[in-house]
Amino acid sequence: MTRRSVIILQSFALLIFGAVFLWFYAGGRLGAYLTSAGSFQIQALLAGVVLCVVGLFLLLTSGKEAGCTHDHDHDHDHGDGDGDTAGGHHHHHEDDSVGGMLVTASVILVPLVGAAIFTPDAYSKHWVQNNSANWDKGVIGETPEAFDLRRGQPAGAGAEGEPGEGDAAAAAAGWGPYTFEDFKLQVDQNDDGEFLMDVISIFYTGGDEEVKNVVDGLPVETMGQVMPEKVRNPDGTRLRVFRLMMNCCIADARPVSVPVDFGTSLPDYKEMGWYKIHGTMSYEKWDEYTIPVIRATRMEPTEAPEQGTFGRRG
Amino acid sequence: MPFTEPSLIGDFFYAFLGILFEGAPYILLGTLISGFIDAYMPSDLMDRLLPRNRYGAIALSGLLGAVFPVCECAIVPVIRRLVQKGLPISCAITYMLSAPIVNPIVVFSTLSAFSGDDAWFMTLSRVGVAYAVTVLVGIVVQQFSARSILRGGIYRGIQSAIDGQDKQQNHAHDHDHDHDHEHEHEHEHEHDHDHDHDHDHGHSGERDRLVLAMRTAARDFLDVGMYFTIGVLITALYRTQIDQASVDAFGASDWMGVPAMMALAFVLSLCSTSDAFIAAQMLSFSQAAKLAFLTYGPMMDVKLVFMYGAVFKPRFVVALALGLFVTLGLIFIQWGNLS
Repeated sequence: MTRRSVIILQSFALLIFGAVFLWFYAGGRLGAYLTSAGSFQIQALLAGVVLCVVGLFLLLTSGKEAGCTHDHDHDHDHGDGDGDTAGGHHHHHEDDSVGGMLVTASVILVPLVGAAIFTPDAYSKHWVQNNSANWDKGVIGETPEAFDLRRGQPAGAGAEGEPGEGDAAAAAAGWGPYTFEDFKLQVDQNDDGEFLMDVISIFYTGGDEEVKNVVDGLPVETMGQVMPEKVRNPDGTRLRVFRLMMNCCIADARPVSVPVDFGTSLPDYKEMGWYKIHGTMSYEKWDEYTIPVIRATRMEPTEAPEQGTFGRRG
Repeated sequence: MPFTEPSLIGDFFYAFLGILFEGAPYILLGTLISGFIDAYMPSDLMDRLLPRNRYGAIALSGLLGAVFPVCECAIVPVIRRLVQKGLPISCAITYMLSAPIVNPIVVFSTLSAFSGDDAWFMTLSRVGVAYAVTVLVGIVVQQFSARSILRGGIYRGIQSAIDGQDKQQNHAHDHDHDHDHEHEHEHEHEHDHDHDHDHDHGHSGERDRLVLAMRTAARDFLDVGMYFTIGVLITALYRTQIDQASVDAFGASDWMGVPAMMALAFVLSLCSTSDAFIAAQMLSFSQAAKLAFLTYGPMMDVKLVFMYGAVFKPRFVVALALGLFVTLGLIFIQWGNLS
């Protein structure tokens, strides 16, 4: 009876565990936790399904005697074969008591269910502040995983031009210098002719001299959450717009941001609020870093994007 | 739709769920493999597959991740079961520590994260050092008895299996003495002395093996999952409640940067398939410090300490954590000095 009770407890624990995964997937909330790149969300869905299937399987077969090929003394004490001990075998399953299983299930399920109920599906401004130490730095080295303007350059685009000096990879790929025409092919424009650029793409333009030279001075529209600017803002005319970038899950996410300069005075805004920002691209040299700065002409509140707070992984 | 607004405690719940959603599928995969190993794998298979020479077996175990790529979350339940199926402890620990790094998925992700001239250098250095150190750990572990390393339940499981095999071998000699008055139980004993003595006493045939596999998998999932959950709680606490800028101050030198990055890898508990993307962005740290981060983290972190605790004695886990920390720390501090 004890063994069967333990199996029933295990099955319910698996069913609850799996149900949380399926709940978040079905509610479209998993995208706030796992990147859409790769197969992480599918893995979570499969895990939910498998956990529920195994849980149900265990529940339906809980009364079945199954052989045990492990972990027990085999002293040939075939005395009464009463079922619970499979013919007198002394099992050493590490914690096959109902109490032990209740403790195990509680340690797993209480935080899981509690977090699932009370999670806001987003980080607060405290977390953003705790992870904004690099906001006074620009791009160092190559970062193709996050920046795809050059990488996504159509084959042959600009191929008639001379390869840029020091850009052997581009030359080897048959690319010429990055041009405004290349940029137009890659980036959509709104009805006002502004280029629709992701905050993360804007940030990484500062790490590529050719791209920077093309983008500098262009009208752009971007969208992100805003925070007060804490660095190099003596006149108080700047904000920060940021998007989160993650590789796998939100635990490895980091806020990638660019300064937004309003020139004279700041408009009213809500910290962590979502805004569309319109303006012109410019660049400043902060120590050894090239920092993109949006010279804003206007900012308007907007809804959070459907895919959640994350920019693309690249 | 979430029920609450972002807050400090909300950050904690959010990060906790994120890590859990990412890691739990791998633990589930590992425990399913564990269940099938338990139910279907012959006890002597590991003996037949590994080289007779123990050092050769350890060296081969360090490369198994290239053929059976398993991340650090999935490896623990697999190892736990393989040990009970006869895989030598030294080989098991070598495989356990190396597989999260010496595997093609991690090689690819490291190459992607460190694009440019550094990519191959960082990737090969990571894999090479990890392989060498894990083989060394296996050789050291070989000097100790299984009893001094494994948790009581795991060790007794192995002893039971060995006893069972011994009794099977001796069956022909003493069976008449042992059973002449014990044949009252309901299943029939033919006792032709050639039967498979794998605890299949009539009520446990092939059709029951799936049930056994699922029960083993469920038990392992919950056992390992409990330790995983505790580790994730601590990691989420660190990730959301501590100012991450405090870490950057340690990047000034390798004497500080290497241990700081290893300590960071320990508390962040990142998956080995994605940690390279984080390390690549640690601008204030040297290559040596980043390599320390990339080799120590997949072998030892907060959640792994608790998961290892499901298999090994606490003092062994502590010794392993400290031993790896010191060994890798010295290697990479020296590495930094040379470069």
